[in-house]
Amino acid sequence: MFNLLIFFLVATSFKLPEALLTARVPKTTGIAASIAVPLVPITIYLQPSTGDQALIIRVSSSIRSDAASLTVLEDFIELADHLKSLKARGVVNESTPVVIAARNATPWDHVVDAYNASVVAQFKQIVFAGWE
Amino acid sequence: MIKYFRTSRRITWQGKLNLTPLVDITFQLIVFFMVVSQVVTAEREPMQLPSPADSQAKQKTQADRIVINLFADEAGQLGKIKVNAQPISDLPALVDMMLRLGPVARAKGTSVILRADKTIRYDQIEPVLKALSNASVGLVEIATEMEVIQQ
Repeated sequence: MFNLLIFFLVATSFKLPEALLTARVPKTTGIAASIAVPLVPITIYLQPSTGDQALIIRVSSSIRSDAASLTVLEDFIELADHLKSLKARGVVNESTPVVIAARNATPWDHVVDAYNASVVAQFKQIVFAGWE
Repeated sequence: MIKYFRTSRRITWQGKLNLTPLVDITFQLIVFFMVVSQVVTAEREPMQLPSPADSQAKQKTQADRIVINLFADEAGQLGKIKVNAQPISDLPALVDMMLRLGPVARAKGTSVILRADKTIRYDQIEPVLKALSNASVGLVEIATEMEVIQQ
């Protein structure tokens, strides 16, 4: 009987507590979502990489998403700081939509990290999009 | 005249410990662990959840909810799918289920919780998010590991 008790004590897995990030999923997800023009959304592009960096993070805050207007960042802490700096400069405000566009092969972990960085920077409208 | 008699018989102390309460407590503990381990694993089966740095996630205590579990297989692809501990055959079946349950969940104010393994590719989770958005769910809660702040 004591063996049974020891078995259940050992076999019971005490899980790490979980927390929840609240995400909005508006009627139409994606870059062409129900976002009023002429608001220019901030787009966070996530692309897996095979090099030294596991993930390439690019941020665009202009209508032209060409190479010149994209900011390349090292990690998600830098992403959060960059988003905060955009707000501090008055380029955007908390109502500016943030679109997280990830390549198909991007792990879910990185998408959630990008979402969390947007929440840290206190943006209210964050949506998910695919990036073909 | 008082007479004293010596006797050779020694009075020995026969101490007996009653183990019955100990056994009762042990059985209670066994039953407790048996029941608790079942309750905890029903909806929240083990998987590697995302753990963002400086997490803004909060704990949820609401009982009425739809919990979507997306498990990864060894190759990092989407494997098992469960909704409130009920197995779902594949992704299209999950999408159909969300399209049916979504409006009901929204009407009742039921929260929808998405627990997905952090290694699953985004293209396998995006259809679920799209289904929830097409079902006008509105708000989805993404489960993450809670950050332990070391002081």
